[in-house]
Amino acid sequence: MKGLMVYRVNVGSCNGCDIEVLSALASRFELADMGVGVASEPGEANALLVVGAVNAKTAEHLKQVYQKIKPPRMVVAVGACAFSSGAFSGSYSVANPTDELIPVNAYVPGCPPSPHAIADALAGAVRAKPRGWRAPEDFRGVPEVDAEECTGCGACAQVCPAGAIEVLDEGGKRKVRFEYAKCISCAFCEEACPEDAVKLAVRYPLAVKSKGEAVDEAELALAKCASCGTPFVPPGQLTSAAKRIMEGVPEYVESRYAIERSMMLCLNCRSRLESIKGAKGLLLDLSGAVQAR
Amino acid sequence: MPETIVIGPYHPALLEPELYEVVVEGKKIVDVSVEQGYTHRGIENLLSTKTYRQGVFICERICGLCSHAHSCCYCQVVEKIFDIEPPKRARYIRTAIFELDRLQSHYMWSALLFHTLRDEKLFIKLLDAREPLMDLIELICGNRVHYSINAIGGVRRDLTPAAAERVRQVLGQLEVTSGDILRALESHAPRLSGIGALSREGAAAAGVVGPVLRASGVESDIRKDDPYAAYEEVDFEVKVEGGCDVYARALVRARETYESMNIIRQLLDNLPAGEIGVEVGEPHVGEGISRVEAPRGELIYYVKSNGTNIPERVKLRPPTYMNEHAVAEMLRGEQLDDLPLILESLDRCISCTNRLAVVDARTGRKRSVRLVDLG
Repeated sequence: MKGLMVYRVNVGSCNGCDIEVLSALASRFELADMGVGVASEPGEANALLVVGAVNAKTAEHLKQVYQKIKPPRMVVAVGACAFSSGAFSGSYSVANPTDELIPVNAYVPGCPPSPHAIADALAGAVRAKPRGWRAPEDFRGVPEVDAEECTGCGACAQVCPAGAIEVLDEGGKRKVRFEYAKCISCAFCEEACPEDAVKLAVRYPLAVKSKGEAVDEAELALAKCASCGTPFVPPGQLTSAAKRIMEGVPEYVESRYAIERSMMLCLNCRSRLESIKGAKGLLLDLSGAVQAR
Repeated sequence: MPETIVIGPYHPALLEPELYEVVVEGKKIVDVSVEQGYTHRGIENLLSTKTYRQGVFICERICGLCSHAHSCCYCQVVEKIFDIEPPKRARYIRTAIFELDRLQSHYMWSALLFHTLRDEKLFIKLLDAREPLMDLIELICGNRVHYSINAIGGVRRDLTPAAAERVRQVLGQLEVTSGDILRALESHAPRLSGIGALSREGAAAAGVVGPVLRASGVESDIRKDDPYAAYEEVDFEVKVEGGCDVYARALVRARETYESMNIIRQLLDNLPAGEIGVEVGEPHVGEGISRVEAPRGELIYYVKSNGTNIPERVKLRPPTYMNEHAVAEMLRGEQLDDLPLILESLDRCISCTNRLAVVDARTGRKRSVRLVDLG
C-alpha cells in the first residue's frame, strides 16, 4: 500500500494506546516521511487503528466506522485490549474482541505498545523499512519461558492479573502457554517463578498477522501416577518441590524416599482411604523426627 | 428557534468518545447534555474479582495519563487495610514518579491545546519535547505509560544513581519546554481569554477539582491539604489563577510543571537510603479511604475488605467525574466555535469517568445516565 491515512477509533480504551498513537507522530518516528498521515474523519482514511476493549456500547459504532474507511481497509489492532480485551477480559461490559467484529490485518501486542512498535507496524504496512528500535536495558517486554528450566508448576498463571497464562494438561503433556495478545507486561510472572524460568524480553514486540504467532510455550512430559498410571505431574515440579521441602526442614532428609513416593500419587489416588492412612502415618513419622532433634 | 446539534461519540474535536447534545440559537450555545459510557469497562466490578496485588495493575489501566495516581491511591488504601507503611525511600520514589507523571500529562495536554488551536507546528514541537521525558520514564519503570512501579508496601524498582542523574539532565531540558509553553500561551492569550468562564462560586457549586478549581481562584491541592507519600517533606507552591477562564486553566498547568520539577529535585537531593518495600501480611476486616492529587485533581479510592485476599468492594471517584459537572455552565452562552477549546481546558479523562450504566432489571436493557439527570 502506498500512502497511508490512518484513523484512530477508541472503542473502550484507558487512553494509554491513544496517547502512544499520538506520540508516534513525534518527529523521531518519521511517520510523515514514510507517507503516513492522520485522518480526522473515517471517510478520509484507508487505514483504521483500533484501540481499547470493545464494549457493549461501542461494538456497533466500530462496525459503522469500519464501513466508512476507504477500501482496501487496512485494520491494525493496537494493544492488548484491541487484540483480546486484555486486562479487561471477563468484565461484564466488555464485548467481543475486535477481530470477531471486523477483519483485522495486523495486531500490535503491548499494554500499551510503545510508539516505536506502532511506527514499525505502520512502516511494514507502507513497505518502508522498519527502524528496528532498541528497547532500554530494563524494558518490560513480553515474557519468554525457558522450557529447560520451567517445571510446569503454574505459579505464573496463578498470579497473572490479565489471565494471559494458561496451564493445559493433554495427551500426557503439560503446556504452559503465554498469550501475548492478553499480556500487559507487568512482570508479575517473572517475580512469581520459583525457577527463574520466565524473563521479560528486552525488546519492543513486533506486529503479528494472527493470534497464533503471538505465543510462547513450554511443553513438558508428565510423569505417571505410581498407583493408577495416569500422567499427572511434570517430574521437574516434584523434584523441585522435594528439594524445597528438604531445604526447609533438614530433619526430613532421612524420610526422603517416603516423601517422594507419597508425592507420586495423582489427586484421585491420593484421596483413597489407604493413601490417607499412609499420609497420616508419614506425617506422624516426620513430626517425630523433628521433635527428636 | 433553538436547534440541537449532536457531537460525537466520535468527532475530530473529541480525543475520547463521548456524546454531546448541544442546543444552539444561531451560533450561541443555550444548553448542553453529555452522554457517556463509550469507554465503560466494568472496572470496579473487575477489581472485586482480583487479588489485592493483581488489582494494582488493573487500577493502573483505568487511565493511561494518570496511571501512577490510580495505582498510588489504591496501594495507599490497601496499605491501611494491611496495616503496613512503605519505607521512606519507597515513598520518595513514588512521589518522584508521581511528579514525572504529572509532567508528561501536562505536556501532553499543552500539545493537545495547541492542536485544538490549529498550531500544528507547536503541537509536534511539544510532542518532540515530551519524548525525552517518556524515554526517562521507560528507563526507570520499564514502560512509558503503565509504569507498574507501585506495589503494596512500596515500589518494585529502585532508582539507581545513574537514573537519578538522567532525571536531572531531562529536567534541565524540560525547563526550556515549559518556558516555550508559557510564551506560546501568551501569544494565544486573546483567543483563550474570557471564554469558558467558571466563577469561584460556580466552581464550588459544581464541586470541580484540580487545575480547573485552582484556575477559578481556589487554593486547593491534596498534596498540601492532606499530604501523602513524601509531599510533607518537600517545599512547593500551589499555583492559583483568578482568571476563571480557559487561559487561566492553561496557565495553572504550565506553571505547575515548574513546581513538579522543583519537587523532583528536592526528592533526589534528599533521597534516603534503605529498603524499597516491606513484607505484606494479611488483610484486616474493615474499610479504608485514600486520596491523591492526580494531574487532573482529587482522586479518591474506597476499599472494603472482608479479610480474604480479594477486596469485597472497590469504589473510586476520579477527578474528571467532578469536572464534567461544570461543562454545561462553562458552555452556556458561549459561541459554538469555542466549544472544542472550552472542553479541552477541562483536560477531561473520559476513560476514568465512564463507570456508570443502569440496567433495567425487568427488561435487562442497559441505558446510560446523563450527568444532568443525576442532579
